[in-house]
Amino acid sequence: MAVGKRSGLDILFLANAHSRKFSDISQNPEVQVTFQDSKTQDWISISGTVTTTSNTDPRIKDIWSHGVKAWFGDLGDGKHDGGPDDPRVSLIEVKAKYVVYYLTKVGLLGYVKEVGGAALTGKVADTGVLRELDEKDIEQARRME
Amino acid sequence: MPESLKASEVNSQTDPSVAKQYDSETPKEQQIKDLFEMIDGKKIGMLNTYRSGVGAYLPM
Repeated sequence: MAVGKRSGLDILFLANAHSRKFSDISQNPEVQVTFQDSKTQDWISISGTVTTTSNTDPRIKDIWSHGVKAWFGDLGDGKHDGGPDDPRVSLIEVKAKYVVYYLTKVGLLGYVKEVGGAALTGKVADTGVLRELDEKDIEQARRME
Repeated sequence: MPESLKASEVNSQTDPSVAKQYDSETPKEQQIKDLFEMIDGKKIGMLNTYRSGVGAYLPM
């Protein structure tokens, strides 16, 4: 899903209120958001708690863009048109509680050299840094915005 | 460069394939700034929820 807005390490998504995400979240609001970059091998995992809002949330208009319409379709009734006032267009807000991410520090050749060298020599590959942020760090991130 | 593996380090606290990968040198503020940049550059995230009786999964 396209990130609607990042606020600190909290993430807002626009989503269709009819999707099964909403029934899942209503039963268990703890979720994970992952990002992955297949070129760099970087990845991010954000664990947290979700709140959902209906189409009346004013933030929807702030983050909605025309590209969103493509994922909702237009029923032609002047209401279900994928626009910001479409009652299906809802907000999922993930409040981060724990984040872990991997930042690759070497390029492709360096990656091959590290992994290949480690596999051949019995050493441990050193391709980047693994970092974790707890709730205190995440609170700091909210203040940095 | 790949790091040498020492017998004295092979336990759950110091095994270099696990413990050394956690970055304890970079200040948290810089770690957060790096992460902001990473998220803003990637744009697309996968939201994984938990469905009772199934487990964690990627809902549509």
